[in-house]
Amino acid sequence: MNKWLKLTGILILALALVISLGGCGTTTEETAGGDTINFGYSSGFTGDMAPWAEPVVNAANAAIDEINAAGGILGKQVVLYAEDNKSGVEGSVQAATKLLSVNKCTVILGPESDPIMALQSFAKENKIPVIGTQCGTSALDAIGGTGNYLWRTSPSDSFIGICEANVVKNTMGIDKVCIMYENTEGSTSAAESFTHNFEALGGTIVNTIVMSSNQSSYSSEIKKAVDSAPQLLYISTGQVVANTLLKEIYQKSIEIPLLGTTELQNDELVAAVQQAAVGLMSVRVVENEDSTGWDRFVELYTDKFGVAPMAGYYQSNSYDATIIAALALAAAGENTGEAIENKLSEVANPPGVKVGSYADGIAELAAGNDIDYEGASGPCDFNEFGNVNGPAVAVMEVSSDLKWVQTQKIDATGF
Amino acid sequence: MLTGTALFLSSILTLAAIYAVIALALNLEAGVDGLWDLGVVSFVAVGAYTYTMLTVSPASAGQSYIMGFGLPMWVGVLAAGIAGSIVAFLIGKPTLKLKNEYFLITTFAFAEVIRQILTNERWLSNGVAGVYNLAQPFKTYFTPSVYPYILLLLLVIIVFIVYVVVHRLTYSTFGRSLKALRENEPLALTAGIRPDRFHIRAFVIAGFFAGTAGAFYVWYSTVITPSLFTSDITFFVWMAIVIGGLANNKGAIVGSVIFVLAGESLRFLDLGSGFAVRMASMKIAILGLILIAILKWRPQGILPEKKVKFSNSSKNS
Repeated sequence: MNKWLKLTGILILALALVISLGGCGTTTEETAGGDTINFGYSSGFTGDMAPWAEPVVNAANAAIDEINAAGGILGKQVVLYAEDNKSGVEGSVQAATKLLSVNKCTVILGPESDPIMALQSFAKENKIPVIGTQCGTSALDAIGGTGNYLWRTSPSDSFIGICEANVVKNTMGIDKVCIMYENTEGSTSAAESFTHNFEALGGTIVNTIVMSSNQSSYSSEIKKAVDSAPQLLYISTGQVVANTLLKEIYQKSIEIPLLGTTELQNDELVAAVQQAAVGLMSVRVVENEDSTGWDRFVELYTDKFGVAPMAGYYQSNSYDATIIAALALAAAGENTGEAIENKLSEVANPPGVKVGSYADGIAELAAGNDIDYEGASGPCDFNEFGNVNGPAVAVMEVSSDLKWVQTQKIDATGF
Repeated sequence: MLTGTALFLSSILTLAAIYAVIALALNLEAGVDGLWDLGVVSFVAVGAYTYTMLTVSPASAGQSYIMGFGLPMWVGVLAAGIAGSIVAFLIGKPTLKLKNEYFLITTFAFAEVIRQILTNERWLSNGVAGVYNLAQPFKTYFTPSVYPYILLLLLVIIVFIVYVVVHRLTYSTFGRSLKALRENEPLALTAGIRPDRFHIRAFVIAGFFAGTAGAFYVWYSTVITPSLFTSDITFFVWMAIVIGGLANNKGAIVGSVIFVLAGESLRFLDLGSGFAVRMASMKIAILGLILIAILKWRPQGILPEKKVKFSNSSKNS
């Protein structure tokens, strides 16, 4: 064996040692009986989901601070461990493995669509609830809920598709729509859901145009869309594609109304494309902006981070997931994933005393009452598969002074 | 006692082992033969999808993919390798006549074409939605806390087998012919070594092993979507073999292990969740610096290719 092989062996051993030392002091036994309760957060700090990462982790941290200020859970302070899932499957497995085995977390919050789907068997086998806060994939529509360890506080694309289709067909009175979507999982899922529901309502999809990511121009795609003479263009893309697409639509002076998915509903896109964003509409499940929960959250987040939260960044969903997990653990009285799993629906769903904060929740629990958490993102009532719907939708539009403004609020209970 | 850290370590070493199989395949064609292949991920993708389509149950409501025969895993792995070889042959036949830089661009483009087909042709493999909750080998026999070690053991055995095969090929007449073509193609031609035949063989063999690695990747991820098979895998494996030592098979394994370990060990630079997002970007920069330092320290890689020495007797005969 030559000296370089020996040196390489030493290097590998050293790296392994770094990992081992990093994990020292966090065995299951120590944590279960230790001084803290550990929550995990898995999100794409790098990769496609990176623009959303800091806001959602901030929101979870805001919730953790609130929980700790209220005395923690079962008398222990909560620590949030955040791991980068690299916006993908491979990173999601690594992040979850570390959060579970090294950090001894009893719940994992945050993963997006592909990352949470990669944890389907992992969550169930290891009995650790995984609560997605920014995943719309319709693949999760019927596989989560109690006993399956998968949940989400962000609405499914299926539900948003129903809302969008109803707003376009019944509220706006539009019959002919052209779909333009980016061929990524999230964008495709949203476009398919809209198409299915719009056609079910009697609408016509005059053309469906698939776009690849990172093209320098979408001129030919725009021409095809315009040639199909739609009354509205439905745009389901990530921000990078939307940036190029919206600018080109504006430069070509196309005056067809634009409806973007919730992901496009953020100030950074508006700031990037400026006047090209004016008139862009987006439908979102109402985060009860006129509710106490939303107001509390806006104040809390703004005070802590100096900027107001936005719908397209899923901060309220992240905050709610953290509070619900904490209340479930408090209600269970036991720091295990299985105990949290069994109480998630109970603390979030009726019947029970409606509570809008962690402090109110533990006060009611201490008084021996059932609780029904109503959060910043809405009622947060889980169905049997661990999905949440919303009571209403808001139609948002970019105004001439480059602000997202709510133009309509529509009751979604009949959708 | 099996600690949580050991469990995490076993998980990342399993991933390193999968990359090591791809690196050994790439090393044969790129290191030994000198083919600048930037499309190795296409073999991995085709292998992964072939394995999945053959071993998974028929598509359920809401899904759409071909086959779904529910065949045994070993059949799937073998088919994954064969599919990788076939794709390598089909890509290699027209492209191996090109010079290095053109070959590089063409293989890169082919890999992207294959990914786009998998993305857009939903009838073929369920498009961007992919297939989830895929089975792992021997999982029912072990508890979840033990299984990661079993999967690691399985992958270590596979890496060893692939290493032995590739090592023997490297030092066989075939391997020496590839090196001759790499060093001086006109001179190799005068010795009767036909570039077209040898290049395509190396390419097809590499396709076989990279294809099987696709099946192993499915074992690890339990999910298959086109987004798994971006050029990131190609660049990752190239970096691994360059760091490990181009044309050295041990180097390919060492490079893969170091690269994965270096990346994942940075997860332990924990400054709290408030800084986690910013630290993630910093970690990439730190990883880059580590790689630069290694290449500065060992420009030929950690384990450079061994020079072949010929005995005087053969020289005199």
